[in-house]
Amino acid sequence: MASAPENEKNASAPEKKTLTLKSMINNEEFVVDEHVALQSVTIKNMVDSDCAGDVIPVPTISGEILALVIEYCKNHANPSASEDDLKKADAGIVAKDIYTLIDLVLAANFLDIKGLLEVTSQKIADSIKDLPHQDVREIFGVENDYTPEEEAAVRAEHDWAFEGFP
Amino acid sequence: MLGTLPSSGSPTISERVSSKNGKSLPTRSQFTETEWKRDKVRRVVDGEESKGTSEENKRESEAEERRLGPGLGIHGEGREKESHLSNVALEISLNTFQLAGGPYCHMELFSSTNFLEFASLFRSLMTDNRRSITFNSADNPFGKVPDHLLVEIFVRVPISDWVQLSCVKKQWANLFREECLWHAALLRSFPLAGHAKRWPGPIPRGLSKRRYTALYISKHIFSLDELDEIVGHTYLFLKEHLEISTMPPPVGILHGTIIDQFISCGKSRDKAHELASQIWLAVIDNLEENEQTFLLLKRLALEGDVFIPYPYSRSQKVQWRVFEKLFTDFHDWFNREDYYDVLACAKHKFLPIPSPWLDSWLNQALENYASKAWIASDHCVSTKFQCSNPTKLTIEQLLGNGACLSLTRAKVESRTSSDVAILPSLLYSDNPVAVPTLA
Repeated sequence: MASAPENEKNASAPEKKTLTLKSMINNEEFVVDEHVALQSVTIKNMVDSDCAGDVIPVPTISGEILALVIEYCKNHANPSASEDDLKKADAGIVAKDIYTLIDLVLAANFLDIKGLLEVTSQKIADSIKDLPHQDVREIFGVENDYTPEEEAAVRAEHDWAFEGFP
Repeated sequence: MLGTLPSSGSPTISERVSSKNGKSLPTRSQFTETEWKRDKVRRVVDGEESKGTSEENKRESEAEERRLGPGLGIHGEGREKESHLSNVALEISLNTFQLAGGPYCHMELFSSTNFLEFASLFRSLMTDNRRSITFNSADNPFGKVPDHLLVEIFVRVPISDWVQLSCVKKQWANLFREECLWHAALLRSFPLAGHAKRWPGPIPRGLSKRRYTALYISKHIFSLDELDEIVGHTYLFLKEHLEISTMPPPVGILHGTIIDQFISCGKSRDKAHELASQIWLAVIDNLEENEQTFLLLKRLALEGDVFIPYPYSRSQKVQWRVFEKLFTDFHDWFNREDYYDVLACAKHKFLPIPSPWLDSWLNQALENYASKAWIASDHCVSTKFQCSNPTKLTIEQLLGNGACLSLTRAKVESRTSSDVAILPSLLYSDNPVAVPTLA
């Protein structure tokens, strides 16, 4: 079943091959050019090993996130895009709230898209840097599981050799 | 008044004098550029703080307390104040930046009215057969991020914020204890080092955290043209042996080990000697100002020279720095006998001795009436005695390193006429040259 649709397309269509990605969360489907989708190493492996049907199911990724991922892949599949344009486009994609960013980083990880993983983790890192730990907890709703003594001990432990250097 | 003195020294010092309204000066031998900058920052801060409202100050100091935490203790108590103040300056600039929409601008996202809708939408979107997403984990977006992705995120946060991240949650602190994170950080910050081979020689390479630290030191302390991991490892080796061991091995052995290490890494003898002395200087400069350091420096100063061939011989520069640090930063720690022992040793090794080194010695001598005349006659004291209280003399150097011991000359100046009576009698007896500048 796996190879049948591909052979069909090879034979019939000189136009670009397309793949259909389907979010298993809300059953949204996205039709994308193959070379766009192949930026995902996970999808590439599926296609290479001939286990991709005409619809590739993507579990755990919602349609909204998948749309962002595909936008990223399209931008980066465009050979004429300049580096500056790509940077701007990436910045636009990751200009989201933390919930979306976390879903995006999970999606990038699942689909194994290195560049997207990079920009998304960088964005998350930028949003938690410069924050005191109380603020990180508060803003991101992380539960405090320290006693004050334990927290002091952790601080002391992190008194690294290079602290205090420029 | 100060400006008219013919022997007034470097502008930094005289400016410092005027800025402090003639209070007693710290007796540093010379102001390095960083010290000078720090001093400048402090004066800026003093000005800023007096302008700002008390509320602002309070908020700043609170923010600073949270941010600074412990661990700036690399300078001793004396310097901590200075670094503390310069941090206030940084804090002020940071705060201004943040108010102007700097790093906090992402907060907008959370203040948006759509936020609750967002959250509920995502909860419904992320409903997954394998995981039931509870309200709690929707509130805590990091809850569903696996460790290896947390590592990816954390290594992109500046290293100075890592202590804050560790304090958020136990799970996060554990990540910073693991090889995995440090390996990722190593590859990210120093991609070339990932392929570096192990080296022969006595100093081991260690795990990723150690290597990261070493590379960080190589990069930040010894701004070398070519990033050299072994330099950082050697620094750590020496610092640990000097600082942590209760009974450090003799200096010659530590120095020899470092030289051996560099030579076995293929450095030339000259390069090995040069790097070793750079490392000694850096370690000595970064020791904390405490009693252990004082005892260590004293031991380094008094340790006799055994003839060892180059490049195993210790560098002059390093020995100079040991004495310099003892006589400037640590002069309050000396008792009389120790002071004379070390001074004798310094005289034996270096002539002339720079006048700042004589500071505490001068102070002691001045307190001890009997030896006052002797100071003036035996040594050049190109020093201004400033006297507001006749019983308490304070001394300010007007010359930097230039003063030498051969010339007998002192300039005496007094603020009030009542002081004049005392000072000439101190110096006049053996040293007629000293008096004429008195009004």
